[in-house]
Amino acid sequence: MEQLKFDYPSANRWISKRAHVGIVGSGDMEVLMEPAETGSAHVSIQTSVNGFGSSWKAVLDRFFARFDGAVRIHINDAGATPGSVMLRLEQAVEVIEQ
Amino acid sequence: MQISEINNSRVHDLLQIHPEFLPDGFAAEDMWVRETLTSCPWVVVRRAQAPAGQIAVGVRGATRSLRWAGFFSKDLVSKIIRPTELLVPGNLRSPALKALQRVIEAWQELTLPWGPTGSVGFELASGREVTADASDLDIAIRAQERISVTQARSLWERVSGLSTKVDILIETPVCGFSLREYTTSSTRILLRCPDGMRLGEDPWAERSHSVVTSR
Repeated sequence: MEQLKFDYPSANRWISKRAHVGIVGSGDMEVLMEPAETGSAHVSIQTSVNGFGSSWKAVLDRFFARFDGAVRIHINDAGATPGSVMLRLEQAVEVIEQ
Repeated sequence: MQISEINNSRVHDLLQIHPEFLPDGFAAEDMWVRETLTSCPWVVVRRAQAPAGQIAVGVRGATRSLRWAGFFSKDLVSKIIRPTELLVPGNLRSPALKALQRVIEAWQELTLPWGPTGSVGFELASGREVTADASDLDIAIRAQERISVTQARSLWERVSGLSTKVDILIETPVCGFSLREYTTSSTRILLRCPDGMRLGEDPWAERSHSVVTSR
């Protein structure tokens, strides 16, 4: 079990809704996305697979290159692949942008 | 399962291989992969599409971060065991194996083919003791025909009180998806298809169908 944290100060667009998508099951993850009071984005990850910090950073960098919402993201990961991480993040965005 | 069934192997099936027949180029792979296969020559069939004559397989190392994905020739395979053949939890040496015994009891009336996958399936097929105290119980259910959300809820409710986490995938002819997500989600769910993951509403619908109707 490993805890990871990432900050994206340039993601500062105000967000009002929250989203809860995904499932903690093999190869998948649960995402809670909610408005951040701090005016920038913060990501905290709890993962069952250790040693993939740089892969997480690469996926999140790619996600925040396109998404600029000031959100707090909590991820509960059970070994999601980079592809499913991105799908779940985009699904959460769909919910908060509805 | 007869070896002639190798052409019908499906995701989650466990294959015993002849490690001495691994191709010469395999020496380039990580040392742990070869060592693992030499001591325990079992691999799991992955969902990915494989080139003709080959099977997409995964090798399970000692820890969760040691996983190898690749393709093996069908000629390497000496035995196939399907999850449905593994409904005999043996000596119940770990909580996940005990949980399988409880699920067998809870689902006595279930007529769909199902069985353990993940560490429990691997241990029961290979004999290698890979389940630990913290292991989940992974299960796959084959559903050629549509299962209603009500049926899915009934299956889930019968096993949701176990102290071991039970992770259930439904396998349709098109894809696999989480039973839990199917019972709780009002929106699209994660579909695991041979060409990758996507979000969708109907796990039994052919992908080509949605392409045609969108025109």
